[in-house]
Amino acid sequence: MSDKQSLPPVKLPRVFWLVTAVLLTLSLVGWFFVKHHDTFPGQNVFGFDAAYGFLTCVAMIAGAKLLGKVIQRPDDYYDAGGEDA
Amino acid sequence: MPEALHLPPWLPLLIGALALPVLPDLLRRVVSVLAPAAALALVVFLPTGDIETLGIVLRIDALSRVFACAFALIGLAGAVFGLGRTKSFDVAGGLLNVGSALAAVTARDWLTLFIAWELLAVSSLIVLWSSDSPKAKGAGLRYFLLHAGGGAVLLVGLVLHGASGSWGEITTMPLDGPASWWVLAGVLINAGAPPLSAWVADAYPEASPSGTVFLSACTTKTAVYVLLRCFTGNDVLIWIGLWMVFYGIVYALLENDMRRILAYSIVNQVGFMVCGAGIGTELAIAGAAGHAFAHILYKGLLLMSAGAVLEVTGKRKCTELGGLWRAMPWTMTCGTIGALAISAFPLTSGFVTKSLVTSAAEKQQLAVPWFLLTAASAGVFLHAGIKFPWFVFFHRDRGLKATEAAWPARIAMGAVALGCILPGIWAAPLHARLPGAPTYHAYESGHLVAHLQLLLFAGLAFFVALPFLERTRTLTLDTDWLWRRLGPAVVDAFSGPWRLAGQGVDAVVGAGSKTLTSWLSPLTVSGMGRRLETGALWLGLLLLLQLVIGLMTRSA
Repeated sequence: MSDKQSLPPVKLPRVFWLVTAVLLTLSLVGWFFVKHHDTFPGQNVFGFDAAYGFLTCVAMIAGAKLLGKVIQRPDDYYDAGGEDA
Repeated sequence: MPEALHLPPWLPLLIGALALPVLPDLLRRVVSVLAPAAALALVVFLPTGDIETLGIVLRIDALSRVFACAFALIGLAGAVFGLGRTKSFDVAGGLLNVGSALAAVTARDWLTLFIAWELLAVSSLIVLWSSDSPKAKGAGLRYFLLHAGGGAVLLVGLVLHGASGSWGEITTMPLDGPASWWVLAGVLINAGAPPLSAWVADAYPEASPSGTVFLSACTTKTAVYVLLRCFTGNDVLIWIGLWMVFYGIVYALLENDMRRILAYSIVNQVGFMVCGAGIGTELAIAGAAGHAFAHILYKGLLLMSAGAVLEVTGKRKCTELGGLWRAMPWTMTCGTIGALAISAFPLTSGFVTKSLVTSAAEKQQLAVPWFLLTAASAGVFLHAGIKFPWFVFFHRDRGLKATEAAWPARIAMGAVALGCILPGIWAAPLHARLPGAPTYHAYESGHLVAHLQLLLFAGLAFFVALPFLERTRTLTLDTDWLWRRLGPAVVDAFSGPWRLAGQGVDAVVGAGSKTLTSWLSPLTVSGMGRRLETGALWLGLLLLLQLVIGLMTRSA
């Protein structure tokens, strides 16, 4: 935990974000050139998969962090009893 | 192949495992590689059908061959990877582990499968106890305790099943009575299903770098095989699988130890397979089997790259690792290939196998499972695909002194990396060998673009949320808390009066006999934990008893 407080956040270089932006744009543009699935609602809406991927991941991270507040312990939690019982 | 060579694929591994500890150094290395190579040759060249050999009957069909191939391949890779470590028992244990898995998936009758099942637990224990990790002894004991229990549950089911007159051939088992539910429960324990998933992340990361490679392949995927053989099309498996998928993601996101991250993602990936078994259509079964094949290889690869890092740096926590790409470019490249494959990135094996499972959900119009599986696919990229390589090889350069992995390790990683890419580029040969030989075009443009959007924007989410994902020196409580903390505390509380009584008797009888207290102590859980040998003895007896019961019921 001390690491998190003492170290400055990692800053990603500008070129990283540039490449990311290009890839994301390409994947969005690609949508216009393919035949879409339409089994489920939303599948044939522009940007659905992008938004779904992004939002569910944010939700998973947020959910994990919240759960972590309750069930995370220092990593020597089980070491206290000497020979692991 | 000539009929004289129709031997069980597990035989070379069994012989190899028994021979390794007594062979001189050079020969030991040769045998440790030759044994899985011979097993692989047998798996590939044995004819399809029921094969009688050495008094037993092997069942070789598409389903068993896919699993057996993957086991033999990773056995070979793991043996090459561990060439530097053959002095230890862990390669012998690892070969036995792979052999047990091969015996289980080529078994035609339940008894053979059950014996293989128990040997899986014993050989895993050997691998764990040969590890240098200080926590391996306790983790190994807990692993063994749980799996001896799981084996007992399976046995109860099989005995009940046998009573109804079909204790022979392994066939479909409708969930129509207590027997099949007991069997299913026993199988699910080995699959890492809830509520006992904790054993995976508790045990596997404590094995040696090569030992983990063997272990990660065998136990859970053998269980998946049995699900695909006997329990397909049961809706309950869809929901169990979905639970496992998200359990793996959430726990892996919170985890700091790189090999525990990968262990949680085993549960996550097996969740996809269990879900496929639950969907139960031909496409879903083929997908689950294919995904098991792909998974065994890329998970082995990921654990090899993590193992190489551990071997070189002696560190395993994300908070202590980072920036290793400069010192270990080969390990980084191979680890990243494994990470892309587990994320089902196009051009990797994961893409052409996992797509079968999600497509099966789509074809069956299973809306909720499909949406959840799709979200989980994004989550895999998050928790394993980016997180593992990012925190280990990039992120912060911690100035670790590191060199590239040893040559055997590099060769093993390179070969398996190839095995993760080739099916992704050319899927037809793999698809043709899956049960039902589905004709499936994973690279159909609509699916490809949708999947790329999903993954790339999941990646964006990772880097946007990076400050929140910074690792801390923590572990995450799981149901193993019940038997690691609560259980011993309760037993201690209740055994207090006993101990007092014992001390009282001792005081009366005199110091000459401290017997009562010392006899009672192994019976308490905490006492057993402190006395590992006593505990192991108890469990060994339990296991032996199971085997005897199994054999007796068979002859009855």
